[in-house]
Amino acid sequence: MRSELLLGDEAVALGAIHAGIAGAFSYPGTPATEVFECVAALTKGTGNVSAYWSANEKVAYEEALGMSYAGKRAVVSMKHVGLNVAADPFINSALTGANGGLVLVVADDPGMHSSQNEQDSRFYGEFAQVPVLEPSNQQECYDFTREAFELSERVRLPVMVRLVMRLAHSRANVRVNPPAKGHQPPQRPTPAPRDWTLVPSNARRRFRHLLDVQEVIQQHMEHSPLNQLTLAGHRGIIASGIAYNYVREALGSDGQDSLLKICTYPLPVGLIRKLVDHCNEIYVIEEGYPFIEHRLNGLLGVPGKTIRGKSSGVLPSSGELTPDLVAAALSRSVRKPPAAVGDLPGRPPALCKGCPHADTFKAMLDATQGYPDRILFSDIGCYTLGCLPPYEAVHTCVDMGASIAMAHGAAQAGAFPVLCTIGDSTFTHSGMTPLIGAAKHDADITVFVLDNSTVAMTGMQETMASGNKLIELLRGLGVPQEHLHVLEPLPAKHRQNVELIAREVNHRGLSVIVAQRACVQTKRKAPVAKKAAEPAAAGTK
Amino acid sequence: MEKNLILAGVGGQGILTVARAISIAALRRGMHLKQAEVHGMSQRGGAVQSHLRIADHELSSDLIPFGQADLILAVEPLESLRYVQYLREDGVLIASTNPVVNIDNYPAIEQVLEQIARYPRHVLFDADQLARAAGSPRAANIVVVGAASLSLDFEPRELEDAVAEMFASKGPKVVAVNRRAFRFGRNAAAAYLDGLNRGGSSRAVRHWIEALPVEQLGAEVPPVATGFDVVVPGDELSGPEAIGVENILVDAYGEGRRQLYEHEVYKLVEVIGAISPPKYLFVPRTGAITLELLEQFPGQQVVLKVVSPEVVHKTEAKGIRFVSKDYETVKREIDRLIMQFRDAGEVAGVLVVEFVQEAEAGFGNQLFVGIRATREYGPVIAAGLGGVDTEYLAQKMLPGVAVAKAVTTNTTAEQFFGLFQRTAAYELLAGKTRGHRRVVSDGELLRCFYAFISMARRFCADRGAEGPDVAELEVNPFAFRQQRMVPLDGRGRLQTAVKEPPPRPLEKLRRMIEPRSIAVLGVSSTSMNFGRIILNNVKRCGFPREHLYVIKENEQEVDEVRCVRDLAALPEPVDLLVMAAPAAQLPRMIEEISASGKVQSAILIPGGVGETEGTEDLQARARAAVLAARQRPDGGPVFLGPNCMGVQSRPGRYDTFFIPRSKLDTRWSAPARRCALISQSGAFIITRLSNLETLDPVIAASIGNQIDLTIADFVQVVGQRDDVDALGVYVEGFNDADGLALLKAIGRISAAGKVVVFYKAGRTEPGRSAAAGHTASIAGDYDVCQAAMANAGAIVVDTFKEFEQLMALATALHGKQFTGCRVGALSNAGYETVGMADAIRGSRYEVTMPELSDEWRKRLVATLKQHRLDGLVNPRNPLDLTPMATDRALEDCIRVMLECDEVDAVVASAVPLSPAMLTTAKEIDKPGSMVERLPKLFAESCKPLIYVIDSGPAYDPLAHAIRAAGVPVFRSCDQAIRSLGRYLCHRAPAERKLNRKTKSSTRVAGTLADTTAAESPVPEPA
Repeated sequence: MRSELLLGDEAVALGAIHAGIAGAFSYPGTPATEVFECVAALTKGTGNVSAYWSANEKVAYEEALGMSYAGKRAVVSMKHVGLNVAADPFINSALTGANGGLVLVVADDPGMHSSQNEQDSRFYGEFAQVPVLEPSNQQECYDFTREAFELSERVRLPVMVRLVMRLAHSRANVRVNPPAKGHQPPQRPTPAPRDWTLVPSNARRRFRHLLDVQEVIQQHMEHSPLNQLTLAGHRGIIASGIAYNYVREALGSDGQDSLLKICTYPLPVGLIRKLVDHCNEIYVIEEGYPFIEHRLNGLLGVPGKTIRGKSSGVLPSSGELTPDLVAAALSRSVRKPPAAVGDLPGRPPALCKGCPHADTFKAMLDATQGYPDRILFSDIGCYTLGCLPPYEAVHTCVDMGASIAMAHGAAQAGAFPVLCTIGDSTFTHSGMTPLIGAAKHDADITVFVLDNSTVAMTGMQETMASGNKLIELLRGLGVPQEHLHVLEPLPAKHRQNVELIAREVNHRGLSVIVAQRACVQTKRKAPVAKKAAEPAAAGTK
Repeated sequence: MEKNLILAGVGGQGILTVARAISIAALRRGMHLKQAEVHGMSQRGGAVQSHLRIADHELSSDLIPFGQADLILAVEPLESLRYVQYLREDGVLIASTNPVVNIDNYPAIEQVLEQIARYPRHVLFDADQLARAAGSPRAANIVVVGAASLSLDFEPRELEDAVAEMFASKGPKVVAVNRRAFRFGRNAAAAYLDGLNRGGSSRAVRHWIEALPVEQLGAEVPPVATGFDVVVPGDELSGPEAIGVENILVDAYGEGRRQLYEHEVYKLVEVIGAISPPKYLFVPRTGAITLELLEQFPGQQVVLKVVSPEVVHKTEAKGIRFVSKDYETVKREIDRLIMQFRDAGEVAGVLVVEFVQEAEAGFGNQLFVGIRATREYGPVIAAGLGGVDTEYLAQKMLPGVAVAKAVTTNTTAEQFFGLFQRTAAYELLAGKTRGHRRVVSDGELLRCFYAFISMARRFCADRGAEGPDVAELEVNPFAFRQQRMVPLDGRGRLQTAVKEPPPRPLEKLRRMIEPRSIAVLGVSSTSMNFGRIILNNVKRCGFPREHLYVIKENEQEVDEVRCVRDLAALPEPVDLLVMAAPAAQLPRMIEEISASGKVQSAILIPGGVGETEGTEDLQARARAAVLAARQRPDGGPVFLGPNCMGVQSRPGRYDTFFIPRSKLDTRWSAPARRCALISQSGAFIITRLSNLETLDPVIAASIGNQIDLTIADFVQVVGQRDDVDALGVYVEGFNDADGLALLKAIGRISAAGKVVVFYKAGRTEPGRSAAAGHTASIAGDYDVCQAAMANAGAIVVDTFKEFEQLMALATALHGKQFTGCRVGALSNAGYETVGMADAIRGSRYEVTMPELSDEWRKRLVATLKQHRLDGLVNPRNPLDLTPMATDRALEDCIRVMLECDEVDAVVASAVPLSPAMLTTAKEIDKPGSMVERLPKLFAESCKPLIYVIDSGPAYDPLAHAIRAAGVPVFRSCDQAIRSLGRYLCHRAPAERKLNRKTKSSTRVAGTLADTTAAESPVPEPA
């Protein structure tokens, strides 16, 4: 047993390694990036764990599922919106079941520090009917991840570990306990095509099985030591995940209230009933959506009991929880905080000095100056910062790869000119499929692939295709040769870039322009060791 | 134990490294730890923060609740303020002073620092500078860790080792740098807190720390903050700022230019004071602006300005264009401007400047600030209303009202700001006048003055081979937006500054004043020439004959004084040689005098050296001879003159003034009064002595052409004498840097409680060549001299009459007590009481004539009753005694006034034509005349008393007799009040404040008193 200082993400990674995984799969996305990076860094050169970035979250999940089918343990990690991309294999894998332990780590981003929404992944767990474990601190990140693998193999289902940004990106001491020897997952007769092939006849059977197994899972959760009930006064508090810490902070050593700590889903109904029976007033403190609160209240509420939480208004229904918000909700704090200094100017992030994207945006704007109605579709990455002044060259940011498809849609509506920008990594993540369509129909759009040959926002991960490989890829997708151009976004080449863009914008059909220049951050830094030491950058995706 | 820390900074500053260092130390202790970070978006230059909690028990929340942070640790000042809600009441705020300005609306840095300094427990220091000193600018975050170590419960070693461990993989060199950075940070923080504890201002302590040598920063024990307040006034620009300035100057100088271009001035002010100039771009004549660069200018308009060393006043020369920010228009107008000025001379190019939307437009919303090197006083600074009106206002307004000016060497930014606050410019800019809003903060002004003064100290002076010196640097005007200063135009000039001459051995000057032996050269045995008159004067003053010599060949004796053949033949070395030989011999004589080794000091009488045409060469050779003498091992003798009358020294028992007794009675037998006259002109002295008759100075010295000894040398030496309380100084011109030396000497003398009355002759307008900037014309040599001498503590007078009167007062009244500026006045003539009341306020003084309280009115009535005047006289101040008053009645009433505790000084006047008084030459010797009464009164009272006799020559004997008894006598009552007013204001400023307080609290004063108190001419800190 030794103690280490770990980020929540890193504790999960170490838990997975100690659980004996054979592979880690992911696509970078804040706040989950460090799970994969930590596994990769710690297992590099050992030959025991396969860790490569995947093209996107769906691919990552499928790769992990394949490894599980092959009888090995696998961890796949992503941010909450990444699970939207991987939702298809995730939901279906609940029907097929896992063989080697399969753990999905999802990091939510309440408060939207680096994301488009603050969706709560616990709904996905319930939706797919797979178990979810929610650690409240870094120690539990480690412990629960190991537990998740055990559980996965016991119920033969994938298991989700749900983190939130504050836990993922906070460090604390973690006692770790490496196993004496490597884990040997159960070797099952392979293959099991009748379970894994979801043709209707198989699928119906497997879904029945999934429903049947729920009872087993429910029983498991009722008795899981991860949930803890302490009965005391007639005020009850249900706290889950990181919210539990804020409750502890607010209560201090005050033991007057009854307290139920929930770390598993499905919810431990028996424990909740005990608490509700004992108390008149129940506070539900949870990070994310009011998941537990809604289930407790049902449609009509619990007769004779008052239930308070995000829906009742004692806590805000959006944004991140803080110890002060929780303390105020539980009325344990009458302390007035010191005055803030008013009127401090904000310091929002901005494109770096010398960023190639900036030059591309400038050229784009100059080339389309004559068209006040131009629509500039864009995507997710550093370049999304182009929405800020002085550029304001990003009009949309919806989801990974959306730019090209949305541009195509707008063109079909008759909009002109329609331009879109997409990074090289986002392109290989989800941009290729819409581009095939746009090429087939020669959509009247101008696509800019911003090739800085790295995933800059999340900390310089390598990309799937850049440079010549990217060009070949584009050609292969059907982009016409005469309207496929490469430019170098540099102030010195501004004029010629503007001319090129103007020409291609006026071409009534598909043009693809690859803006090729390496990210200034990669140029500035020598390759950064991806250990937790350096501030690992992260981003919207 | 639990410690909660907020770490703050901007993306890329290494906040997480700070967290890690502290974490490593905490883990080694086996402590529990929580550290929350923000990754992602924020890192692209955005705000970055981390919550770090360490405790000996398990911690729950990863985030620190509001009001629970023990420490905010910031690598950037603004960011430190973002999280103050988290700080405990007794929490510590530590911030580096280096702003990261990557946003448009970054507040004035001085305001940010002021805000931080408001937290009772805070530490501010320049972490970047300390990091550079430690060996790497990247170690600023570790400097901050070092500072934090003071507030954490670790042994310093534990944290330092944690830092070392963290960098161990990068090699021993990096480890050493970071260990040093850690120690510098810790020591700087300790020193800062020490400095604050000792009463230093945040800024003063920071500057002291910035000037600390590396050894002290890295020592085991932090430096002790003593004497930092002394460092600041002499502070000059240093560090990276100085290097930045140097580079700009050297570049311009290297191009063979002596004029700085406007954009170079922008750059300079940016470098020295973080004053943000508008966005600008210099387009050289042969270059062109690109669309892209143009688009970087904010707003819809840009300003184009021609850049040419020949064009000084661009507005007048139509060298400025306001054009819309359209690429084609801008290009066209640039070309036009260049064409327009092509024939006027060399055009370097065109400056494109952001169009600045000012906070307020119109009169009084712009500021002028300039520094320049002067020959006499070294670097000076001036600030006043900016814009095209600058010179007009400076000319038309009273000194000190339009423009504040000061010599930078002995003025701090705070002091200069104090002067500036008295100007109309400040009242307008600070929105203190009707219809004006404040457009700039005091902090911003102070910062600006600080920047200019520190720049002037370093660069407007002779720097030898270090680099080009700045002759003049000015910004006119500064405009304002969001209470911040934006320069709109600026000029600068380079030069080679004058060198300070080598110092004179002043010990020899002391011997000149009190010589043990004297030799006179140039005595005629046949006629009464100057030499012979001097010899006789010296003899008559009682100088011991056995140590008096005449240097003369072929004579045994002249007027009973023995002669020696030449200097070599002197039986003893002489302390003083008086040289009255013809001017032509001067250079040779100087050489001989120094070569003889027998002379300590020499007075060179001859005129006609240097001042008339054709004698310049003679003077130059004489100077060269003096400089050569100074190179001798013994330092050579000191020389006074030439073209002077020499010295009258009562303690030295000699007088070289060659005025026959019949023309001027030097009253040698009268005891000396505690004053001295130092004058460049001998005639000025003898005229004052003639007018004042009984001044009887300890020393009167005529300085002449200052070939060696200067005015400042004399003022310094004489001012130090215990037998001198008052000095009168008359100056026509200064030697190089001697004005500054005089300022310093006056500063010391004033600080010792003595009074200097100062007159500067030669007030011609400063030379205004086309190339000279505003600074020279609004802060010319005379203006600067007036202002600086007054700042140093002298009473600066404008007329000879005023000089005499103030000298008389300073001499007679020195020992009196000065409790305030409330004057009691009485006269036997109604017009005089009115006239005196009318004179209580002048441009440089203000006194009050308080109404008397009932108690004193009663006493006055009683006295008047004794003299049967109660029916005639109204008992009030000023008191009109009517012509019925006798000498005795006047005396008794003066006594009541002197005793009255509502009066600080008394002016008594009696028109001597009154039949009731003994005033004619025949009457004054009779018992009971004022000649008998006044000296008694004067001696009895500790309050100043002056007497006025406003009548014709028939009453001169009366005036003379009273004056001779030591009572100051004026011949006009209004002048008496004016001079007394100036003297009182000079002597009693501190006490006056005290009076104001008691007055308002104890009784309701008359309206007059109220007004005057409120409009005190003596500045009080705002």
